[in-house]
Amino acid sequence: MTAVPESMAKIKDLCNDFPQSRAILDWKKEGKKVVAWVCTYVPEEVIMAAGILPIRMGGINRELELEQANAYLYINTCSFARSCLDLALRKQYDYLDGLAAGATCDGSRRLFDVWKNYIPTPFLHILSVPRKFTEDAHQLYREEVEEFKGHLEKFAGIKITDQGLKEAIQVCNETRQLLHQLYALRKVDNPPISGAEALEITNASYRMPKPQFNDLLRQLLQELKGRVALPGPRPRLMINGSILNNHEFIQAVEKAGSIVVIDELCTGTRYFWRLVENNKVDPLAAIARRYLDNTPCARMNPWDVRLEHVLNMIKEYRVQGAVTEIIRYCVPYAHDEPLLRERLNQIGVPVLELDVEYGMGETGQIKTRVEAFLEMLQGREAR
Amino acid sequence: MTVATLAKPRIQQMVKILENILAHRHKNPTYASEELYYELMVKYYRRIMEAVEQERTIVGHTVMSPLEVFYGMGIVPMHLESTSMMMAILLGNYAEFFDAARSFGLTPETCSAHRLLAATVIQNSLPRPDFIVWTNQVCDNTSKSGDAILDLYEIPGIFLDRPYRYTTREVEYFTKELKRLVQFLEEQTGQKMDYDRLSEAVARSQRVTELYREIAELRRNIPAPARNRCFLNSMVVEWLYAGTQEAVEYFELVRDEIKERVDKGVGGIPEERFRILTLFLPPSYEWKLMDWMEQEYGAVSVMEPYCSWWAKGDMDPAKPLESIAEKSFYRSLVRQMHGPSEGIIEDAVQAAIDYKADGSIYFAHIGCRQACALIRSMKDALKDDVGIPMIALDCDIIDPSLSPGEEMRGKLEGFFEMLEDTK
Repeated sequence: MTAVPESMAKIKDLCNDFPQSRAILDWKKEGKKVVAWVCTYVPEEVIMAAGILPIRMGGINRELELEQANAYLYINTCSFARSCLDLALRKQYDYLDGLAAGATCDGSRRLFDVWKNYIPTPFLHILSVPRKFTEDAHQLYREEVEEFKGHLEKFAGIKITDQGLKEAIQVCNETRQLLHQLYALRKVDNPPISGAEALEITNASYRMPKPQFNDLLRQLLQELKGRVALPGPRPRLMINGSILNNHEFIQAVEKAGSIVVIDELCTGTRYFWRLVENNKVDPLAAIARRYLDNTPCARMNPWDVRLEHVLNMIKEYRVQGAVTEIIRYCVPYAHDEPLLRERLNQIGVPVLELDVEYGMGETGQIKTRVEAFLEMLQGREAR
Repeated sequence: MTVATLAKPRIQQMVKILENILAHRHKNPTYASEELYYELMVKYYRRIMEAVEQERTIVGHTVMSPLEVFYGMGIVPMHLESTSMMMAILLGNYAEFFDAARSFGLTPETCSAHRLLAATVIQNSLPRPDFIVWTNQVCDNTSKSGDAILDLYEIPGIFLDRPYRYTTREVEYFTKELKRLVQFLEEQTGQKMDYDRLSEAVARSQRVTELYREIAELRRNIPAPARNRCFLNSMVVEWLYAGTQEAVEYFELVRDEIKERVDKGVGGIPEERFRILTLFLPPSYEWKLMDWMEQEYGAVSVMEPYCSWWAKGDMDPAKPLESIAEKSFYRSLVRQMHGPSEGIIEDAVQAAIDYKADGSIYFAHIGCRQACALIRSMKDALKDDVGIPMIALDCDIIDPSLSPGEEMRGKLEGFFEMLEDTK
């Protein structure tokens, strides 16, 4: 691995030890509020427009027993939800002023329910998120976002103005555009950034103030010129499936001899892929539309909108194989998997399916299975 | 991916077995409502069989789909989860089905009811529906299982998106979803919705809701006037027959039987010792566990907040689609499973008080995440607010290999002994 650019080192330094990371604690030291959000269907712009730092709820980057969480959330709740709760029960989120969730999947809504029962938090809100892209769904979601805005205004004691929303949209869109630029660099034969590094960067994008992140990412884009992250050529892989925050998981896949050039993860492309149209008269409507229309989670219907996104990226990033990681009890992705595998096989892209627990990094089993998968891929290329 | 032509539909075998059970019931009568339950099961599956023979339109649908709309359209509904589950129970081929689901690529962590459904489709064991209707009631599994079925059968389908909370705007949204459903059904069948027939179905559904509530009131009596099987049978009848005269007659019979016992001051079982709040569903392969509880320990289920409790709300035949939409926010199982936790926890606490429960049993179906996630919250609420203990019984709603009946009985014995000591 080549040297870590200065800006990347700074980003890591600011986000290390999440959720007790420097970027967040510095913000709190200024007496300002922090609201965590669960699921990419919660609009960050509205939180920002209230003068609050939105951070994405995450769990522990290690596979743990989750003993504390298991006492409150049954073991068949996905380990992402349990890992988040475990951190909260261990007072790692003690600085939070609020939690905003989307009723997007059973894991997310029940995490919210149990959090509400056991973790005292001043601001609690859950949005009803439709599963469709119809105009009726957009109208409902627009009203949900309006209600969320009203609740935040009451909590923060300020009026969220259209101007404030537009400014927040501008900042968030800038983050999205910069991440697009970063990801575009991965299209080339020997990308300047590895898949593991890319995930660390996107993780940081929702764990620190965005203006600060944008400055560092702009710097990083300059520093990456001429860099080669991993010596090549290597099989080009896509990662898709359940929520994934631990970059060590991707590192393990890359250490076996591949490079991950793209993902279809809610912590990756699905977080930033689409922009909010910032030229609309009604910025709240524009925000709501973008969040519901964004590249979809497996929860959305029809499912082939997700498939289309996957297929487009496979083509655009010249993907040779896909690694699907599904957290146990992550039902939406588990149900899509047989269908997705079949579609990818039809276009000649083999799929490695890994059942994992959230937070898992490199394990012997993953290493062995990835190595075998890469051997198979290389064998195909040689023929 | 298409359905393999591996086996002929097995529904005929199911009907035959159900007819044998019914004949046995007639020879060894217990309660009339229990016999009627089996008559209705035979009738339901026979109707599907006849629809296949007569080439009538069959709609495959997931749990809590709006039956009234199907009956209004004059098409034959086939409850996908119930049919595949009943098939596995009656034919005893769990292993075959679970193997098929695994080969298809569904992980064991996926709800067994939906693995079973996928398997019966893959194996071509279910009669092939003309199209399917699926919804997100009551969990992520129901919302996702339709995708694979459409793919396997290569038939049309429509997904109904029922929002999370019971608010005016969410009811309006779901009403629009139902209007979309009517349009879909009209397109598929080439027929128009018969709104008079739909209104009649809604009126009958309302009647069933009223009867459910009437029965719930009667069940407050001590000794408990209903047998444990009663709530399970009633739940299934409502799932399969909502909106029909058969459902009205069944619930009237149940109500009359219970009322008669209340009037006589007798219970559903000879000697009541423990009044139990039943949370979630006992395994479908082990409903006999509920009989055993009655017989061995005098433990009677006095209320089931997940399955038998209907919150406030009424249907208006003059506004059929609006009423059906609204029902899905207050009806049993959906309100509790697909809504904020306050609903089910408050219902359970209130039921424990109103029905004077001594203890509670939570059937922790490993595939059901949204029900199990609340076990601790529920346990604490019942302990703190009512002072009653709760046991969580690990099981799978379909798969007997996870938790055999003997193991559950062993755990329950300890629980009942503990209840006895605290009396």
